[in-house]
Amino acid sequence: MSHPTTALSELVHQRARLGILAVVHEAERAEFRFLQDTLELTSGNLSRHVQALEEGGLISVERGFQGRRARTWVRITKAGRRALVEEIAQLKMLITRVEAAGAEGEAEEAGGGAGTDD
Amino acid sequence: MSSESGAQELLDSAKAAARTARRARQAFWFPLLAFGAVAAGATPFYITPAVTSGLYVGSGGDALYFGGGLAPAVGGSAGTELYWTLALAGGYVAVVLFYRLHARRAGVAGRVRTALAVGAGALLLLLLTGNWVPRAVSPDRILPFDFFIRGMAPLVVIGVGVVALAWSERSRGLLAFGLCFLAVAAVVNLYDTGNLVYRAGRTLPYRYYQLPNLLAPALMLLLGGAGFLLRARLRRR
Repeated sequence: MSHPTTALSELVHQRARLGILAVVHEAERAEFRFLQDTLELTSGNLSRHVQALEEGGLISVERGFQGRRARTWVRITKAGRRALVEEIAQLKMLITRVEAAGAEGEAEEAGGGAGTDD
Repeated sequence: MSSESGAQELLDSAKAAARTARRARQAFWFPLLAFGAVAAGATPFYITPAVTSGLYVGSGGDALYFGGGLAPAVGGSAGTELYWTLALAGGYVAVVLFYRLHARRAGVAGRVRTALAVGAGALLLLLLTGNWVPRAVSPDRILPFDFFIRGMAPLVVIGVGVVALAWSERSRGLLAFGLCFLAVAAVVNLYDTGNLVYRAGRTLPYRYYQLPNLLAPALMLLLGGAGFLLRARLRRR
C-alpha cells in the first residue's frame, strides 16, 4: 500500500483551499466575503485560491449584484466533493499511521530495547 | 512540525471552518415558527359548531364530514381542507423566501430544497391517499380509518418536513425535536387528548373538545422555534 502522503492532492492540500472546500461543502453556496472572514484571508489571497480551485474544477463561481453591491458566490462541484472526501480520508489515514508507528516505538522501548542498533 | 501534527492541524482548521458555516447557515427556527403559526391559525376550524351535540354519529344526529385527514369529522368543512392545503403550501413558499433572505444576510446559504420536496411530497401523498382516491373509490365518502377522523394529518406532514429539514441541516437537535413532534402528531391523530383534561378533573366545553389536539403540537412548534432562535442568537454573541 502506498504512503498516504503520496495520495494527498496538491491542489487541495493547503489550509486555505481545504477550508474553502469545507465551507462550501457545508452549505449550498457561500459568499466571497463570508469565506474571507471565516478563513481569515485577505481578498487577494482568497481570490488566488478560489481561482486555482475553479480552474481545477472543484468549485464554481457565480458573480452577480445585490442592489448596487457586487457579490460573488462559490459553490462546490461533484469533483470538489470527491476531492474533499479523499483529502480528509488521506489525512486521517496519515494520522492513524503516524500514531501507530509511535505506539510501536514506545512498546519497543518499554520492552528493554530488544531491537539491535546497526 | 511533524506530518502528524500538520495533518491534525489541517483537519482541525477544516472542521472549524465547516462548523462556522453550519452555524451561520442554519435558520430552522423560522420554519418551526411559521408552521407553528399555520397550525395555530387552524383553530377556528376545530371549534365544534354549537349545533353539534355529540362526537359520534347517533349521539347528536349530525352527519360526519369526510375530510380525508385534512378536516375533522365533527364540524369539518371544505374550508378546513382548503385552509390546510393553502397554508401548508404558503408555508413552504415563506420558508424558501426566508432562507434566500437569510443567505444574503449571513453570506452562506443552507440547503432546504430536499426538505421542501419531502414536505410537499407528504402533503401530496395525504391529498391523494386521504382525499382524492377514497372520494373517487367511495362516493359515499366512508371514513377509511381512524387516522383520517380527527383531521390532524397535516401535523404529520409538518413533522415529516421537520425531520427532512433536520437531515438537510445536519442538526441532531432538530432531528430529536422533529422525532418528538412526529410522535406527538401521531398521538393527536389517533387519540382525543381532550380526554386528559376530563381525567385531570377539569371541564372543557364541548365546543373546544378538539382544540388540545391541535394546539399542543402548535405550541410545541412555536416554543421549539423560539428556543432554536434563542440558541442561534446566543451562539452568535
